[in-house]
Amino acid sequence: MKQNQFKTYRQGDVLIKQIKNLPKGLKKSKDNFKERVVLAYGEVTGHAHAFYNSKDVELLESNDIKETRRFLNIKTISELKHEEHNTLTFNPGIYEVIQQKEYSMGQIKRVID
Amino acid sequence: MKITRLTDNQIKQQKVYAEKWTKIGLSTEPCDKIASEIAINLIYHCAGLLGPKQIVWCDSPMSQGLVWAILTQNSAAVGASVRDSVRDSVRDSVGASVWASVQDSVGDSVWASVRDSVRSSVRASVWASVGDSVWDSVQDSVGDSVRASVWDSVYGQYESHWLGFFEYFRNECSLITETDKLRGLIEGAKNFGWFLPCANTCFVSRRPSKLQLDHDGRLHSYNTAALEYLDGWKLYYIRGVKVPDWLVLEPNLITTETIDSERNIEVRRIMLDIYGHERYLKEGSYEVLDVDKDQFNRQRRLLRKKTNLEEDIVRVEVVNSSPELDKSYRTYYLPVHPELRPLLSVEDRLFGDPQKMTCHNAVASTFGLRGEEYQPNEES
Repeated sequence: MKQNQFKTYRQGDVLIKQIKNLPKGLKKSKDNFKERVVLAYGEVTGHAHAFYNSKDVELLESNDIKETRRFLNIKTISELKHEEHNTLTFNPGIYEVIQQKEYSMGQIKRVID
Repeated sequence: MKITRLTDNQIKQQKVYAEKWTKIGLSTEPCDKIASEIAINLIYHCAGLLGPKQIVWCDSPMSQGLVWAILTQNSAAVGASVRDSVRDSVRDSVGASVWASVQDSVGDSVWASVRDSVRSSVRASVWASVGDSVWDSVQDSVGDSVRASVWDSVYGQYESHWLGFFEYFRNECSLITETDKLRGLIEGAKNFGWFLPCANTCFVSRRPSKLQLDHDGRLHSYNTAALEYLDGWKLYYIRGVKVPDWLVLEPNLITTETIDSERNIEVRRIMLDIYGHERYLKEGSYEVLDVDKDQFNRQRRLLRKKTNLEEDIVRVEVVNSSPELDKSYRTYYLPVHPELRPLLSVEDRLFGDPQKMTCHNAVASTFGLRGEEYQPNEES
């Protein structure tokens, strides 16, 4: 697959980049639930960026102590939904999930919504 | 024999059920205690269980969680959670029977017109907010216990989306046997709020005493609590965003400093909306470094405020890609590095190299990327 065939998606404060392979040594994220796979929660709205075909989507995370990286293994065409954003459709593949950050006087903080 | 099509009258009734169950889901009527306790016993009976030995009434899901956490220390009197039996097993069993009795297209049409309609009005806007608030409002010492109560609860009136779906088939399509196990949950939803069923004790929460929504069905009030319970538990929301009480009760306390120090991006946006965007820029003495348009042709601005501190404050003003329910677009101010260095690692405080001061580079930096690396194919 050529580099330009890898797609990048953004839904609000979550960026999802298609990559070639999964890194080794990943573990299953606790955010894989029976009914949905949640990429990010909204603390003050109760809303979530989530896939609702949880059998076909797996959220994995690295074991890094300091900076946990997260990846998606999407097995069938899947939709990422959110109460306030339009739905995004993903082809099967491997993706990295990047949460938006913000700067605060020498520190980096994850965007909280 | 499967139901393959609905009559005109049955189709007309879908709207009636959507309205009826939305009303149930948003009800603030006082509970009928006798009818409620009959419903609770019926819920246990439908799950093949003996009724609870005692029913403990609480005035909110919050106090229900607290009372449950205290009483479970004497676990014999309370007993183990029977949530899976009274809710999940019953729902799965009834669901399988109903879907086996109707053609998929019939089920799908009722699903869309009744279940989805009620869900968006009740479940998404109210239940999620109440659940999150119980989750957030408790502190570490009792936190784990009370938080567990959120997941062990059955959400009563907030289950109205799927209960309405099945009641429609029960009443309008005569699927009586198929839905019989739901009689208790249907009656319960009509009578009380959350409940937490355990083998010996059932904890029941009364409905909220006040619930205020905006035109788009989101919890909302600029002047008072949007959601209030009889025990005084109040939740403050502005256009579906949970905000601290002072923001509603004393909005004159909002300053450029309180806005800049607010960690939550949605609360910060609400504060800005109340304070006024132009006032914020003027009183904050922000200079505009760059202006461009994003891929949706919406304006972005890169702003810098000189400070007496070691570094300036730089923010990028962006407009949301997806419209609000009222079709308007939200404006956000994202704090970025003063040299637009990509924000690489939270824990390591790792930054990339400086970038030219443009709006595009600023947005890219918030995802740990340089401007040339940030080109989303699709965005919402």
